[in-house]
Amino acid sequence: MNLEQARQSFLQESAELLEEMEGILLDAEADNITAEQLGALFRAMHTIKGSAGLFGLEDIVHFTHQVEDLLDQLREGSLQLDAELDGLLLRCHDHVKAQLAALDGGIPPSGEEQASILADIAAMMQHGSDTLLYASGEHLEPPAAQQPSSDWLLSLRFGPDVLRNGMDPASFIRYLDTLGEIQAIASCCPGLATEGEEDRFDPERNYLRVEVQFRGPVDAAQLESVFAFASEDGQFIISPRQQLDSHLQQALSAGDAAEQQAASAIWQQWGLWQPPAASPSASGADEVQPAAVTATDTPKTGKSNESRFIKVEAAKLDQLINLVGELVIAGAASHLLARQHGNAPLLESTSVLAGLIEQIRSQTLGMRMVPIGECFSRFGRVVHDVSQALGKDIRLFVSGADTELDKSMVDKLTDPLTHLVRNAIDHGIEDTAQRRAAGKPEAGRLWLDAYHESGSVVIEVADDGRGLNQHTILEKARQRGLITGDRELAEQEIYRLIFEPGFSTAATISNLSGRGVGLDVVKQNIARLRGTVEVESEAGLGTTFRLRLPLTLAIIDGFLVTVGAATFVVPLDCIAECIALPQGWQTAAAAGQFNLRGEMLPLLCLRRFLGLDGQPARRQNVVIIQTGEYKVGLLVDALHGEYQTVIKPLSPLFQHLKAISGSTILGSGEVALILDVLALSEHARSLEYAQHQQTALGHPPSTILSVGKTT
Amino acid sequence: MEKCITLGAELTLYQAASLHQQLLEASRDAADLVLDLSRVSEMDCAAAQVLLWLLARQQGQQRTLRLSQPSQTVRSFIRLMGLGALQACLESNDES
Repeated sequence: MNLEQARQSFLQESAELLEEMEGILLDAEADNITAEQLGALFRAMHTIKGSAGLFGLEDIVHFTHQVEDLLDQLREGSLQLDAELDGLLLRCHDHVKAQLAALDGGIPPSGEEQASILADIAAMMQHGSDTLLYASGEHLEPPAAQQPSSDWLLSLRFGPDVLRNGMDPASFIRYLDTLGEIQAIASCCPGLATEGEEDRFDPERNYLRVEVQFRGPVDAAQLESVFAFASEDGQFIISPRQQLDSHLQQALSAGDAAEQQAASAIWQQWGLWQPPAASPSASGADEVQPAAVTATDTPKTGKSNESRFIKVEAAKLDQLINLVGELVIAGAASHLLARQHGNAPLLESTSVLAGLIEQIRSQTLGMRMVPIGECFSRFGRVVHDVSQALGKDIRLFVSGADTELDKSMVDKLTDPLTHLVRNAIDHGIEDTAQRRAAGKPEAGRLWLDAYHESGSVVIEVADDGRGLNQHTILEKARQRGLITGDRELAEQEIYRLIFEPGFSTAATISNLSGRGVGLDVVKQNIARLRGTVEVESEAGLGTTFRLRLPLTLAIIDGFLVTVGAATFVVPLDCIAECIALPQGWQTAAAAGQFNLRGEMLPLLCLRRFLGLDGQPARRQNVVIIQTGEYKVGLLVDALHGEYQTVIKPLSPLFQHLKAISGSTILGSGEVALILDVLALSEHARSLEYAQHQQTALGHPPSTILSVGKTT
Repeated sequence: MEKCITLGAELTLYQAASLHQQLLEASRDAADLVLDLSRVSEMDCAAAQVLLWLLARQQGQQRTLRLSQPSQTVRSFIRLMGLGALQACLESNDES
């Protein structure tokens, strides 16, 4: 671990702590804060302060120290967590975050903000100590009462690589000094003493061992955390003063004879240790063993907790996924060959291989999957800030946070979701007076929900606000010339208008939304992830935006179909069923509709749609695909069954093709195109709708058909 | 015979290897050593153990090591880390 890595892990750790802190602060608003949560807040600031001290980041140490003091008062109960204090702590959180971001190349936070926060903290603490005085009268206890100062003995055996890792034992001691009082300290360099071996001295190797008597308001865990950074190869024996004997037994039996002697000399000098009459080292060693194990165990368990997660560069994972993709293809090819040769043992071994490859594939893909909760959690803050800015009282309900989807998608979802959430708060949810008038609970409610449905992930952003006003939307659309005439539009079509660029129905422009920049961007972003946006709204009851996204962008379970000589892959997840086209249905097929057990479904002839040559096969099949609630039939020639498909992106030349989402290579080496089911079903629906219009109104299809064709 | 060496402003891990080399050579051809530490403005444990190593080496050869005019940085570092052996080498007339 070099210095840069240590710094990165410090930044990472701090970011996690800050996230936890923010979560608690946002939670605490709605609920009474528990002692545990207060402890966690305190710990967050404390740990950041400590680690920052090791890196010599004086600014952060100084600031977090003040926040720590404030939290300390809160912990003692001399301050109550009200909205004001909560807001102040959130500002502190932001400031530390900005300070950390500045280390990572960000813009340093302004000094003014820091000064203003510190002034507020000071005022708040003054206030706190006043109330405490009045409130508890003679029961007033000194602030340190909860954690009385205690005496500690420390034997610090820093590892040989501590210097090379960019850590200076002196930094730890300096930090220790800030926690309390170092009453006695002595260092020795036992490894150096060997005579005539100067050439074996390595100036970058650590030989120092430090013995300390310390007094301060800390507990064992706090002291251990001081040295957590160096715990990798060091051994830190920390005991309360009362356990002098066992401490010395451990400390003085560690290391080689020279080290034992040097350490003993120090403790002897302090008058805490007397050399036993006979055989000092041998007698100690046996009894000591169990105690020593428990002491060194603590840092070890801490470490195993840390390593439950391994950070891997995203590019490496992508490479691995690519390779697994190739493996899947190669595996399929060899299985095909084995089948052609009809060699039974070979077939058996390839099917075992295929099973393993399948497992590797799903495990590898699983590595990319992260719970969406990570992305949802930041909306607590968004809702808090936006609703405060607008003076609305809004509760956020999150469900399905453990729904998993591709990491790269989670990252790209944050922006569109933020837009939707802001929109819901600004436009969707009425202000308190209006809500009261409408007979609704005064606090607006906002739901974020995620779940899996037929091979895709659905994310809903719902509010219980006023709903979309169809009338206003239509009016605006006419004003902007998006629609012409008095033509009646279906509900979904009206809602689709709000995704037009520059469309806004807000009467006034707030600084959050209403500028008409937003929903079109949301739609574009989602479309880029091969997803769709649906809107559902009930006037006066609320609006739901439903994002439907594919699970992953890398590999899918496909279903092979052929039309003439061309092979296509349909994502298996969206296939509802397959049926052979009954005789006599050809006419229905030509009409673009068919009857499935009493349900009229649009039927898309793939051959005609894609403009493929050749005559339809004598027996045709229908693949019924389902996206959300909509079912669409695809007319194909032959069905070939399941096939694991590695999605290869199309070259930029073909990327505008909406009906094809990618390509793949079959075991035989042939190329198959992957059908974009969402686009196909949308097209089929718009065709159906145009036909419906045509027959109902008796005039030729207008703009809608052409719009439909381009989708 | 006594040899005086003036050390630079920074005494840290980055200088530790060259410092070690410099002092190793110095200790080969001089009997007693005096290190002028008046210019030291930065010091860490790596440098401290080079000094401790030199001290052990000098003592092993029945020679002395004196730390002359230690700067404030050096003094406070020695006090911070409880480096008793080095403390003893500080020139007594500089004690404050």
